[in-house]
Amino acid sequence: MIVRCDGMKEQYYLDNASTSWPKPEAVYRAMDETARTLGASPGRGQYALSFEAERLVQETRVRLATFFNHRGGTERVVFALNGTDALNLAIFGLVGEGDHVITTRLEHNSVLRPLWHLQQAKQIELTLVGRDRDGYLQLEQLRQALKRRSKAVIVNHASNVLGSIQDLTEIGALTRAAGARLIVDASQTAGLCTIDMESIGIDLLAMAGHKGMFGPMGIGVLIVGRNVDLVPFRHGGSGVDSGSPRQPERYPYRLEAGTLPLPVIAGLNEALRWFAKRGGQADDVSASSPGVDEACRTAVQQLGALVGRHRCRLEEGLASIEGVVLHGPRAGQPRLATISFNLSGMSAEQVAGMLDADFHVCVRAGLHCAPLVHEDEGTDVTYGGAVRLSPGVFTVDGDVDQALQAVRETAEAARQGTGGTQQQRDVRRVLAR
Amino acid sequence: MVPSDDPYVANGSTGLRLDEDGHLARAEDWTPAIAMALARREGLQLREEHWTIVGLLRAYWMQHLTAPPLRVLVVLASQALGPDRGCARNLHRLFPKGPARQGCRCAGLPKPDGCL
Repeated sequence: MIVRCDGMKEQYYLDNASTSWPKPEAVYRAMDETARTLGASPGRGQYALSFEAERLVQETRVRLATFFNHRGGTERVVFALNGTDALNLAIFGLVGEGDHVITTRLEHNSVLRPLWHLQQAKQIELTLVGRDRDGYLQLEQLRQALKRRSKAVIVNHASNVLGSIQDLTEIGALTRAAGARLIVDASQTAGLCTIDMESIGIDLLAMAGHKGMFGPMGIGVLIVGRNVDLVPFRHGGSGVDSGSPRQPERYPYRLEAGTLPLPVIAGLNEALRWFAKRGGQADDVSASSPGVDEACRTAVQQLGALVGRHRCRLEEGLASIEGVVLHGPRAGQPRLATISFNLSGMSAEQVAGMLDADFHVCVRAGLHCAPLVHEDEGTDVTYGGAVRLSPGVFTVDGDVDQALQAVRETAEAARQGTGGTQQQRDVRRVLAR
Repeated sequence: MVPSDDPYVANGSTGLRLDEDGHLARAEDWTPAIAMALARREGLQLREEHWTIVGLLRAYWMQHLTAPPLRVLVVLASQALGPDRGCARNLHRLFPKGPARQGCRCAGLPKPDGCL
């Protein structure tokens, strides 16, 4: 039940780090049209409709390979259910018994839980690398953690809590020098930061399709580098080699089993076209045309700058509110638009509830599935986590204004709950003398 | 109307079964007297507006088998108490540890869902 109040929009959506919303209009249209007119299982039937469905799937793989400058073959662009699923495919497909794996205290549970599971099953040795106060990886710790039998370094490109963007080039160089594989969780950055698999040397790139990529929920992507091979994680129908009792060796069938979600893939494909168009590519060119890569890079840079402007306004506004405690990088460092904060005297959950209930501002509170970030920040015990604001490409200035006003008034309520405003407390102190 | 206190409950000899988060183990065991006992555990003394919110929470839960999101509770509270008293900030004053969690504890309802 959503209720419209006078003078307020139904939603001031600032939870784009969870999922971007709204989507480009063309994404909705593509999904609807595909569901209505292309209702065949891709690549499974011997009729034109099924071939056309398969063509759409392949076109999307081509677009994704171009977007991330993956030169290892489009068949190594694998569809998953979401970012977590893509990371599971990567981790369980790469890591084996006795391996040493390195990850960071900045990770989401999509990385931590699979690794903790393997660690508890005594399959792997796990090392967690720490971060500095601003949310950047301690590279010296990483250097020291890398051993001869280190199999993989798994790192999120940007923290979903703090917004700090890691230096993948440096991390990639250290990882390569040690002979380990680099797995990057790009769920927060894909679509908002340029990611070049070739130049960075990423072996496995995993992401959600429904965040900065502007696809619908229900899609994740794993891009498997040319020199890496993964053990199949799930097994079943592939539409090829059906007489074999084993999952096919060749990609993408090696990692994909069962019918693909065609309308969802169509939505992601249209989102990728939307990027290319925003970057100046003509509407009617094919996915593999020259210039698509450059157009996508241009669009990503423009969109990153667009949300960065909202972040600056939010950061400045929040810093001026009494009782606000900001987390994450200090000014001038590479970061996303994601901002986490707390209000003195009030749990994160209560703040988020008030922002929604009284001001219709949609934010995410709690541990954000990244418990170690909050443990290091000290927010888990004090506040039950933090409140996260994440503006998006479709955020407008009025949304930011509303959020700031909402935090201001909620902070006032929190102060009343803890003895009033600073001014009121000062007056009482003087009167009490 | 505020129900009268029940000395049997007030003695703390209720034998109430609570879960690890302090919520009544069985919502159907709830009575107004138990609400007062549960509120005392929270350091609250239930007044007229508290009872209104407790009633709204229980009515919603009985219909939907889930606690209302705060935004929905505020709409219901606004209808019952008026817009000034029904806002989340006032509900927070009534239930300082959170209208949803603390309110549900007093209402004898399970801990509300939510990814935290």
